[in-house]
Amino acid sequence: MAAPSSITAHPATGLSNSELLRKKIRLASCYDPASTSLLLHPRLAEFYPEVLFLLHSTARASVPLMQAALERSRELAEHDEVAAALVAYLAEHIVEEADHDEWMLQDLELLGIEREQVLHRIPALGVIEAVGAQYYWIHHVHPVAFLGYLEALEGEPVPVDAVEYAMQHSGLPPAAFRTLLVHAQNDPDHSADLDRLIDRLPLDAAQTAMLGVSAITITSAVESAYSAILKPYLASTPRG
Amino acid sequence: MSNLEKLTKAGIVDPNHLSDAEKKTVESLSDDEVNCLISVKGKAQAAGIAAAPKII
Repeated sequence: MAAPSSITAHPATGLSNSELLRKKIRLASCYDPASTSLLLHPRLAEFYPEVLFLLHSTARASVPLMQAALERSRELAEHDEVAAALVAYLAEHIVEEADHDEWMLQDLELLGIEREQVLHRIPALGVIEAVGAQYYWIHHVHPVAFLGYLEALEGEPVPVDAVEYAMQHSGLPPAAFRTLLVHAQNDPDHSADLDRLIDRLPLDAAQTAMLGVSAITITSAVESAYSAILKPYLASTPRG
Repeated sequence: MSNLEKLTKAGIVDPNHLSDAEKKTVESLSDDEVNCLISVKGKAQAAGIAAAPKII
């Protein structure tokens, strides 16, 4: 779909910045976009704690990363139109994302997993590398690259009905899906806000590539970590 | 070599399964993005990460 005339379109593709970024994420992804959510998997109860641990691995870094990006954007804002545009968005998004990692710890406690177990367990190394790379982007390249990370992680929200199905049919305590449910309810608006921001940024070619590389690396890291969790269960994965 | 040729040679895309719009997206990629895709998807393929259901 071509970008509306009010949004700057990428000259070669006619796509908006966010549409182009999503297509790059799709190129990086190994997953089948036509398949159903794993929340519908009949063995969800067996691997859901690992999924929550993986989600917590990135969530625990979300606010610190946004704070780093906000501070760097403020430093650059006076002479950098792109950085200046990031300031208001990041300040608001930090408030929206606050405590989500704590909620996940509470969800895991409902599954019998103590928070000390979670906090002292080493996350997937690829996730550590990809999240750590965001600090490099923010401090040593340009904080706009962080938006590629956000688009990759938040650009396709979990459907509410998938979470509700899992709450009803997984056999797990429904309250253990609290964080996922809140994200499913709120992330469509967050995703739209992020796309609007990305689309109005006057990105040059280098910054467009920064978003792409940033998004590609975190997409691959998270999918690799998920794959390791899900490998024993994929043979019985529902198709839809 | 075009981006499409590079990614096809690396086994990242199959041009027969790409629309004209998707091919334009591929050609719009920077060298850094192409190299990144080849690197990460090469690792994924080596690890046996094939098409699977959508993650959460």
